Amino acid sequence: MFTYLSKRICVVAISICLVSLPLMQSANAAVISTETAIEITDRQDRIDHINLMLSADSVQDTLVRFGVDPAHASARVDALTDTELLTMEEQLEQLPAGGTGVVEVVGIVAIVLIVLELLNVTNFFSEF
Amino acid sequence: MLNKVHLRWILAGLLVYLSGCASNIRTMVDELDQEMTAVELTETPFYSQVTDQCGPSALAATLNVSGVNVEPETLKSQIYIPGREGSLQIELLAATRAYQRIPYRIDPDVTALLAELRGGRPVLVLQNLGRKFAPIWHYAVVVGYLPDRKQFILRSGDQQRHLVKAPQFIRTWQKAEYWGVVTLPPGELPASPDADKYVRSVAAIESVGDTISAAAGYEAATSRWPRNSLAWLGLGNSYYAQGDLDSAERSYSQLLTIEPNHAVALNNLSQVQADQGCFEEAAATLDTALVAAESHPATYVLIQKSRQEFDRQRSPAECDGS
Repeated sequence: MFTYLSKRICVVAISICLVSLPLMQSANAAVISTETAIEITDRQDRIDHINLMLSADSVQDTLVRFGVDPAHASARVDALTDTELLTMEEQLEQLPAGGTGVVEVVGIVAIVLIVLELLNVTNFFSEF
Repeated sequence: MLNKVHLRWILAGLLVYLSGCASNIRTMVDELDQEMTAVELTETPFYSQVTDQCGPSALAATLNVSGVNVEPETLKSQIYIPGREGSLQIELLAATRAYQRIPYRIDPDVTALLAELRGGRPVLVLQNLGRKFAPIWHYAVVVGYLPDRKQFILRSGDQQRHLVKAPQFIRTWQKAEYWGVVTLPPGELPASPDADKYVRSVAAIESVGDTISAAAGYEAATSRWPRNSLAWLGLGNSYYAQGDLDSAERSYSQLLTIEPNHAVALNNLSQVQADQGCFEEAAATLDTALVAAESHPATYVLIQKSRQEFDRQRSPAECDGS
């Protein structure tokens, strides 16, 4: 008798949980979490940062000389996933800071081309 | 013949060459010359480590100082992965959060390290006692510094008061990317806090569901940096998760006085208004949010979803004015 009763209680309790679960979730489905807000900001910051580096005249010239349309490269950057963006930014971060000397320009162009190439966004290297 | 593969290797080599950066150990040692007074946190407990278990011993010491009563043995099961002969940094951070403490990674320099010590907080550090390419990872707790002898004092391994010459310590610390963490009770700020880094440390504890600790952390952040929008957003979200609609509304509104077009704050405020039964107000706020997010595609998509959800849920109930 007792087992039967506890089984019934269990079934009712679980049913209530199952029914109310979607309700509880939908109650705050519309709140954007702090974590998501951070992800969104970080993504935009990364895109802005990379585009800023790409916008230097010397970088643009070098890209053109390699046969890559700078506007095209920039548009492709927008389409990268968060992880891909992170990879590219990390590589760029490792370049010597400041200045737009030959070494930095070649470095920036190389990174951008390698990353976009590895992600099969461009097919720059397959032309060789 | 220069083919695709060759070119890739050449460019990869170039990257390695470019990324090799100058050592700043010398600079750090010089910085230490300005430190005149000795500091030693003698109260920091010491747990002699069992083989390969420096992580639990070190973490137990810093947790104890922050007011958590826990022994390495208890932590061992949570952070020690036998297969990896040591515990990963991420797990130390996760375990810290599980005890309602906010781990904060200090700035990678001796000045920040000493500032924490002078503030009475021991620093959990990762050291590489081997070479860069054959690392021997080790966790220890820095508890003091003796300027006259240029030595750091560590709780390390089986030594309660391990004295290490400054350059030697800095070298081992550098090879571990200057990883150093303080264990903060919620509401306490580190000695030389960076606003963004601190708020993100709080966001991490919020995201694992400890909204009480998070709210205390965000409160501290908003008093120190009253114009930090992420802190206000996190505060609102933490209160909302606790069901405290009034406090959530206050936080979002405060953020909107600083940044009237903060789309995420508008979106979340609208949800609070809807929960309070103020549907007209909520709809208007959501419209403002959509306009504010027009140039931010990622945010716009989320707010559009909110809008659909709102329309779906909307009932004809009157605003009760609460």
